Amino acid sequence: MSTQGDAGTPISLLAEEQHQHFRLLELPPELLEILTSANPPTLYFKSAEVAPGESAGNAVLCTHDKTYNIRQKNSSNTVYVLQPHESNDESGKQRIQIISQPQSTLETTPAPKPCAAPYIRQLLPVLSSTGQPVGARDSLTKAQLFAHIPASDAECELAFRDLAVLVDEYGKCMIPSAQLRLDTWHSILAAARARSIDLTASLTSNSVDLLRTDVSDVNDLQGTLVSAIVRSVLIQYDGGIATQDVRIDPSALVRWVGITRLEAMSAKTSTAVSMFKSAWKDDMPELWRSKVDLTLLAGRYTLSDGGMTIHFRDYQLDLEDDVSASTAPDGKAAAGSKRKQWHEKFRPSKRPT
Amino acid sequence: MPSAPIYPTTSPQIPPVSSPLPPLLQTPSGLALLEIQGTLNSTLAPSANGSLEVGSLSFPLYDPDSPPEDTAWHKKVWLYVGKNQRMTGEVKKLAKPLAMLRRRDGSGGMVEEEGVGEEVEVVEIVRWKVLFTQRPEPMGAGGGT
Repeated sequence: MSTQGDAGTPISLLAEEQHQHFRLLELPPELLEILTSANPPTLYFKSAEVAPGESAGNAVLCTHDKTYNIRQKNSSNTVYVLQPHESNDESGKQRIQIISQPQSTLETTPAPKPCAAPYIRQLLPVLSSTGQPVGARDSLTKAQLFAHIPASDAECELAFRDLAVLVDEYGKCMIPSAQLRLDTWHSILAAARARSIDLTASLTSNSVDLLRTDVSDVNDLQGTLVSAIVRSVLIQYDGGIATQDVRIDPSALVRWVGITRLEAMSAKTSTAVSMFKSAWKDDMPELWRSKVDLTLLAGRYTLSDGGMTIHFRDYQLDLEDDVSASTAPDGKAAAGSKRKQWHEKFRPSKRPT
Repeated sequence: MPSAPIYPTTSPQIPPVSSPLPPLLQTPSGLALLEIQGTLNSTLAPSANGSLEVGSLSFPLYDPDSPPEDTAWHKKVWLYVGKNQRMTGEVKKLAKPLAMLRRRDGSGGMVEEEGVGEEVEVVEIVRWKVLFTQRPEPMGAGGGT
């Protein structure tokens, strides 16, 4: 109640040492709706792993499936947080106390495009053959991986599937090299031909199992790769290929094979467009050879020599496109990089007087 | 760096914390925002309980019996500062609602904890503020009208 009379409500300022610390976060309509819904989810502050000596990389706010860039906004005005306070004197009148002075507000803007793939490529070791993967023991589990990527879980999951990331028996993740992916794909094609399984038609889970065991009678990791490859090109993947019929999406497969073929070829030598396209066609199931089209590789290739030579465009460059992204050195982020806490990232630039 | 969770308000106050502010500015947690151009400075020592008397806040045109559509009272808010000054401000709707986040251990302190993921909680969502942008006017002792 506010029957204040002429005197108004007494207001006092709590001593600075006793101040609470608040962060003020701007809520665009979508975030407001989420937070005021019946069962509001937990949101997450995330950021890319930062190398020692570098200023803190961009921080983001994530819902389950969306990423927002965060920017600290300072104002020349002073903002105070008020709290009702019981009075000690006999009047019993309610008072107001200033309990905090937040230095800045966090502004949120939707992140322009997902960037999980470059980070996954940057953070995981590469498996180049189906022998003992080097460095896998130090690698990250899927949960650890996602925690280090400044993107929502749904966006991370999409990229994880797209890149056919392998998870070993210890839960550690690895990126299969382009050549390994290509070789495994060829094994899948050969196995499908041998069993007269039409990869362009509906596939039963039994067919997928047969392909997997045909390809990997020796090595579990390659079997896992078969599943990962198939999963990455399916239409409407909804959590499991174990129980129902699935179909491979032709555009997804053409793009996946093209990217894989290009990355594998580019690693060895300068690649002529004509040679690349010819090899790419041969990589496709018969029925889908004609679907090969450079436009499907948008973003993953560049041309030179008047369009005669084609190059694989590294995922790292996707990050450099992003104005606010911090460019990372090639290879993995430094494993022992300085751990910054969130209050350090948003430390006020000056102390209140 | 590990991701840091932002938990939704776990226990919205039921009943809401009682507040001397007009209902429009009241929130379940009782928290509200006040913004001024400039800062409140004082050369006085704080009292024994660690707080410093600033003055008083009033909404002279506010009438609890008026209907909510009557918003004329928004335009006049007084903040009496010390014995001699008064600032005039207004109740303003925030362009974007603000979530007030606080560290979950509730201490509100800046504890350095290596290796522990920091947990933050949405304590309140605020949609209005009281804003003072005009210079304080000198007032005679005892306040003016």
